[in-house]
Amino acid sequence: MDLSWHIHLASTSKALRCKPSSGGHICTPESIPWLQNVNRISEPKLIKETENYMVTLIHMSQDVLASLRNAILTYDEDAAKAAAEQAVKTKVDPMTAIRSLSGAISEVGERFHRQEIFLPHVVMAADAMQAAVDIIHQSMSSEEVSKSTLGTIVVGTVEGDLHDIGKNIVMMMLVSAGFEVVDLGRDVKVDDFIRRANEVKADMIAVSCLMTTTMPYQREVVEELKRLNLRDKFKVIIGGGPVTQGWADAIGADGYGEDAYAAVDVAKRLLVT
Amino acid sequence: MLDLLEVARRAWSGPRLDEKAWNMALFHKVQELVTRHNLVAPDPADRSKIVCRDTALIDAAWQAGIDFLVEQGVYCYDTRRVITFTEGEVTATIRGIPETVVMGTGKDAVTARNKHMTGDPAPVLICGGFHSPYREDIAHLAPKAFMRIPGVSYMQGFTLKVIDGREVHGEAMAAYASRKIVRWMREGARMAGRPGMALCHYPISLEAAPMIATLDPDHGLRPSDGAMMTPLPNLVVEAGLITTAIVFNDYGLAFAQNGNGHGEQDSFAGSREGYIVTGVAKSIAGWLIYRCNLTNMSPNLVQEAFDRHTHMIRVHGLRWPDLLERETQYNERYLLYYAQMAINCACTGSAIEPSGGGRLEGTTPYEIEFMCDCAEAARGLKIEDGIDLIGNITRLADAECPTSHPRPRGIGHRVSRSGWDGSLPTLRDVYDLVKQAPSEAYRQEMVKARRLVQAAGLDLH
Repeated sequence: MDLSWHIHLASTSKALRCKPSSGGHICTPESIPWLQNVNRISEPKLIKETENYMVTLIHMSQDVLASLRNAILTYDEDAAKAAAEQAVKTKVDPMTAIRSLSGAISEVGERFHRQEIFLPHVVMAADAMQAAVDIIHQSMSSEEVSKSTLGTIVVGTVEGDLHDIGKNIVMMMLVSAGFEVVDLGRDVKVDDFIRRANEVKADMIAVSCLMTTTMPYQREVVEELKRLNLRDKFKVIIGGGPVTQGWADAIGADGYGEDAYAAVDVAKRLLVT
Repeated sequence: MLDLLEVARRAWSGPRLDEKAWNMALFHKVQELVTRHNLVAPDPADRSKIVCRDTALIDAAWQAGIDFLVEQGVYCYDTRRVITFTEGEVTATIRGIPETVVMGTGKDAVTARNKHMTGDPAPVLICGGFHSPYREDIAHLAPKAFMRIPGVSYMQGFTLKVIDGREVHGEAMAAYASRKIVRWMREGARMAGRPGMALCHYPISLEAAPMIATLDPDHGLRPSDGAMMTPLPNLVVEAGLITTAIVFNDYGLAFAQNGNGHGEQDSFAGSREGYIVTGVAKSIAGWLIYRCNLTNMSPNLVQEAFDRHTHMIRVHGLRWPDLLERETQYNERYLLYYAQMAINCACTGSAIEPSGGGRLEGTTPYEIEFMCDCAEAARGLKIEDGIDLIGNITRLADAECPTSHPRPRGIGHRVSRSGWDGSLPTLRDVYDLVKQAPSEAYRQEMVKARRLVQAAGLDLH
């Protein structure tokens, strides 16, 4: 079926344009009933064609959303990119598309938590999601983009410390919870935490370490933020084997996660509520 | 045998690769090798498969580990380069693993060797403990208290957060603190009447300078001593430790211990079978690159593979579901964990390293004495009998020392845990280092723990 006329109609007709709250895109879950009950068109043939178009569009949208979800669940970056491009092309609501991706990555996180899959699978799923989100973001305004995540967090292991298993797991859990995560890796200098946080307009800096002798660098991040008068700009959470709530309190961090799941809860508490 | 200088040359000139690309390449190569060698990991919950004894599977696992090193190599984190090997280099270097290692000097020397899983009645090689952060005010007292215990064969170091009232922060302070720690250890050995006891330096920093700063024939590490030299997860090594290994080897250091031959730490291995491949490869890599002749390794199949193909001295014993997990043990169960560790190592031919697991001043001499007693009572025990004994201890612990803290189930991922959380008493809370005696409450717990171990079937005097 050639949809070009219908797409033209949808994009130009006041009658078929979606509610403003959906950003002018078609086929959000909220807009579908509204579209299905369009009553401003009186010409019978047009009504029938429009109904057919809407059914096709809904099916297309559902197919695209299913493709996005499936790409994440099968850790397929290429498929995720293709599905995202299709979503943009068919004007699927970006927020709906991102919600679909988030649901899938959460499922991946749950499967990891249940020890049904392993870290590389989560990494591949996160990469696939990031690739899809990057494409979808191109169709959104900067305001819409910022609304689509719970917040941006830069994550890294401190200078002199090369342990990153825990940090990687925290990172994946944050991604699956809906945060935008910028991974700085390990052996990260204090200045680099702050520089990158500024560059990506982060909301939070998450600082990991595993050695007692590298713990002071967590304090240095906090101290350097204070020195630069940036302490209020970023929340700081810390974690790692030797780290405790007492240490977090002592150095003035905003939060501490005993494990990856606690870290996500702390991040949500600090950034979402 | 591949020369360490050649390893260094490759670390600084091998193919460059981004670390994430390395991790994902590791994942794909491991999966390929699992398929190629038809590896099927024994179910870790199956008590009948604690020891596999399937030689075809063991050999396949061994070859998969070698194939990994030959086809993928090892990644140097600092230079971002891959260190590659030929199969001939790998196998020739493995043949260089010594049959015996003399640790320490004079009357305090011990000769360590691979004891296999055959119920070898020779004394168990026992590290006295530490491997934990210590506070400065008791750090100089602690070594003697551990080293005077007759069953202790060698002693591992500890870390400090503060030295001379200053925070240990940065390479310079770490070098100074490392020297001071080893000096205290050496002095502790002298005060314990065992001046020749071997020390195993536990790194306070993984830079070369703090490691090399410990070498001092009078007050520091002697050639008869050793050090912990641990590869990072996912077959990653560090330039600082490569440098250290060259200097240590030239100095003639007797041993190095690989604290991470555990495949389960390799977060990109991707499957339980993958853990076997990386466990074999990483334990070999520890010898190839850092000259580690003692290795903490897992899964169990990896240990069987090393027994079949090398003289490597294994540390820590096998794993199976009945073993108590220290991190979640409270009351007498904490002591029973040490009893099980001793029995496990005695009957599986492993050395014992009762590390503190990151807890502040984690282990006391009281547990070490108990552990030595249990190891002595269990030496020569057949592995099947050891498994029964450990099962009995767990059942008695569950019946008589219940805990509200659930044991973690399943061997799969090792999610980072916080150990230094104050949930267990520190050394100073339960043990007086000056009087060298436990608190009365802890003594009572020991009475009960010893009774339970005897009731489980160990002839503990």
